[in-house]
Amino acid sequence: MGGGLSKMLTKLFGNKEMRILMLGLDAAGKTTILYKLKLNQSVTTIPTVGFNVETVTYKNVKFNVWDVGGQDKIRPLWRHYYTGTQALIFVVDSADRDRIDEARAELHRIVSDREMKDCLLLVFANKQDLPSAMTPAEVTEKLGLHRMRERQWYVHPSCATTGEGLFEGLSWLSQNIKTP
Amino acid sequence: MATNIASDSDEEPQQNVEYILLAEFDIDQGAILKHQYPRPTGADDSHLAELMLPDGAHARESDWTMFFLNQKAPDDAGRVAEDGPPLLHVLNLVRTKHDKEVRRGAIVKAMAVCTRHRFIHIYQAILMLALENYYRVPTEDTLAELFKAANEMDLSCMPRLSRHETTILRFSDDQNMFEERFMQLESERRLLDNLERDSDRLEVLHDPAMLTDLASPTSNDLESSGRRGASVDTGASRMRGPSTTRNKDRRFFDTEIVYSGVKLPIRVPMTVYPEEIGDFSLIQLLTTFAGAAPTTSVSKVIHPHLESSGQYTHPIILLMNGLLTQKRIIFLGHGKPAGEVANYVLSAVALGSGGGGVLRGFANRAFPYTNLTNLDTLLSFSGYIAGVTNPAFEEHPEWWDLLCNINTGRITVSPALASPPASTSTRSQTDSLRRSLDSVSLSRNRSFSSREGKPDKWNNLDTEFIQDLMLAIERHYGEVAIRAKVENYVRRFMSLVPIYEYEHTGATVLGDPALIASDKPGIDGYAISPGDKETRDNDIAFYQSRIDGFIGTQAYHNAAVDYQTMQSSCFIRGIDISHMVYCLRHSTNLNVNEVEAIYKRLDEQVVSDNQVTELLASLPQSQGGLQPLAYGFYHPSPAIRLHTVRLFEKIEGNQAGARYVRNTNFFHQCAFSNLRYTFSC
Repeated sequence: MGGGLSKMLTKLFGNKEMRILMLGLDAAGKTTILYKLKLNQSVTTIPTVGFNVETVTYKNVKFNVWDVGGQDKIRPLWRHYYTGTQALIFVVDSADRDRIDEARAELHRIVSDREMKDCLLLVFANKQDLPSAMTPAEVTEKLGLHRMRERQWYVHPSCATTGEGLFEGLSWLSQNIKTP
Repeated sequence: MATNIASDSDEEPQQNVEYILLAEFDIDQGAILKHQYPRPTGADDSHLAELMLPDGAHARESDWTMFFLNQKAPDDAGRVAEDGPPLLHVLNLVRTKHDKEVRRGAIVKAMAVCTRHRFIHIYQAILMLALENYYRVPTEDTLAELFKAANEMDLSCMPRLSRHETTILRFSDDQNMFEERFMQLESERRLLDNLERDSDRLEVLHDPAMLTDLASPTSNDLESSGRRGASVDTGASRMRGPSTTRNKDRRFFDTEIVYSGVKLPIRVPMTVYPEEIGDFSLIQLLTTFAGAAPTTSVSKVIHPHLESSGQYTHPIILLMNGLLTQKRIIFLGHGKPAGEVANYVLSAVALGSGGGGVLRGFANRAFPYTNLTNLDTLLSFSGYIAGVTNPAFEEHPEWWDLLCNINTGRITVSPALASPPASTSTRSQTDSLRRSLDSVSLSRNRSFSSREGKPDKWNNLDTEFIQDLMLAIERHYGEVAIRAKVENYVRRFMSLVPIYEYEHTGATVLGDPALIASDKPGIDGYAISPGDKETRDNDIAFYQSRIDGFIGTQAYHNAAVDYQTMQSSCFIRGIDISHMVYCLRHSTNLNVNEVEAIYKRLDEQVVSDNQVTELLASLPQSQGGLQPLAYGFYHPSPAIRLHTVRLFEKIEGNQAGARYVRNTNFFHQCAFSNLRYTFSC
């Protein structure tokens, strides 16, 4: 009976859990986003050796966020984190025009994996505070997102150091999460 | 006791340290291996770099990791070649230095020492200094200096103890057990030093080429020069060897490393068993995992190799079963330093190998710290023991059979683990056994909860072991005592394997079929419980599925090799010393003739100095030393008393034996001298 009651409460108040994988090229701002969300303060981050994983609760949704190092050589390891992932947050350094094509190639490689077939895709067009930053529309275009017809995706501008745009992104995730 | 260890053949010349490695985390490229000194190890560069920079290194100031090189993956038949380069133990220190001046705010560097030494922890201090130096002077010269200093550590005065002597010293109350051996080497050394000083004076102008050769130990000839040789090379330029003060703890060898002007005292443990690597705590492993309630996976089929007592199998027994039947075992410590996780793995190696001293082959498939980059290597081993900090492993039960979560203290059996193919001949037997085991464990559980009915005999084997172990830990027994209990437990299990094998296949590679076949209970038999075949058979029935799982493992094949080696190299032939000691220690129902036969055989067979040493090794002082033999002094039969006196006289003639005799209680010593006087009249 207790189980039934808690199920009802969950339905009413939406006590959901969500496994999120956050990927992107090195120095895109993944770890800064993670700790801004977790601690609501801007921490100076250094390159991630391996991974970070933290739980962030927002609007009754428990986000279990995995942040995996982005250096070229360790990208083949990303696939080991795919199992059970419900949403991918792909972080792009909007000011890094030189590597946007590289980012596109990596993104398409990730989402073409069978295990990522059903997951939501949230793209943070990060570092909007930099003067040369591409607009979200430009990022969408450059990443070739319009060609992804089968998938729910959403691009949101963000600035990890101030936290602008981050929670809006999470809101989109919590609204679109598929309850099993 | 008399297992001769093939891997222990360190008689060949060797260096203290074989390689020094340096890796750093490049902010653009990730982990890269920057230097290998004096030459490449032969292992894959990026692979080494990944292992040297453990997951989460950015989140802590420093961390230690350990891993091994030259591990041999099993072939298709699951066999591992005995030859090839020796296993190298790698101790690695990684440090993260925050620096606002550099791009992205931090520099992560790691330095590692690769050595054949199992007491790898002695290099910790020097590694800390050297890595610090490398931050200041990031060149290969820093590695060269460390390499030189570590290889100049003088071990020439360290006695090379045989396996039996190691056992004796390990369990001795008398830390000066082999004092004479130290003294002898030290005086030889003094003599050599004097000679060299003299010859220096004479020959320094004679042959300058030779001297420059000697003075550069980094040249190739150091590799080929023995320990003794290496010390002669450098002896003149260095301070005195260990002082000869008495009353030192001779279970350690004291020496030092001089590194960039700093003298670092080093204590080399003398009593290390072949599968004891580093400075781990088995007690920590046991207390972490003994507590948690067994993980009862819902409606899962009980795996006979692992859950030997059904779903109520004690977690430590579950782990022991996993180790002995060569399962894939992961220690996961999310958020823990890699160094801590590595200690759990090294402890597990000691657990499975019987305190490090009974079985071999666990270190070869141990990965004290590893991560996702090493996954393919890991999965190429049919069974492994690995330490990881990445919880992603938990989500892939297809990668492991047992997962030991250090944070929760829980051991989980993989839901993906398939039951072993039961051999057709024993299938029905195994099935019925499993059924009976389940019912036994159920009844045990009932009887425990209701506290009625006597506990089942079968369960006593493992329950007794666990209770004894836990009680000892509660009473703050030391590591050596705890490891000895594990050693005895594994040894007892190993004594059952050949009997089982012989009874089922008519042959065995682990024991003497003649001894097993002579179904005559008593002193010649192979039974571990003399005169009680029923107990023995019950024990075998209880362990049947574990034995089934053990046969064919790497440890099993190694044990067969060791048995053959022991047969050809042991000093006491024709009798099973440990069995006889067991009889004397534990039997209450031996008749006079049997007792006399035991003493007579011991007296006849134990003659030479080496034979006495072998006998002493099966009479560890921590278990009462000569006590079981000394009872012979008080036997009504004069023949037994005479044999005992003769045996004691021979023991007294041995250097360690004399200390054994001195350490028996006063009463026994009086009896010995009185009887000796009586018989000589």
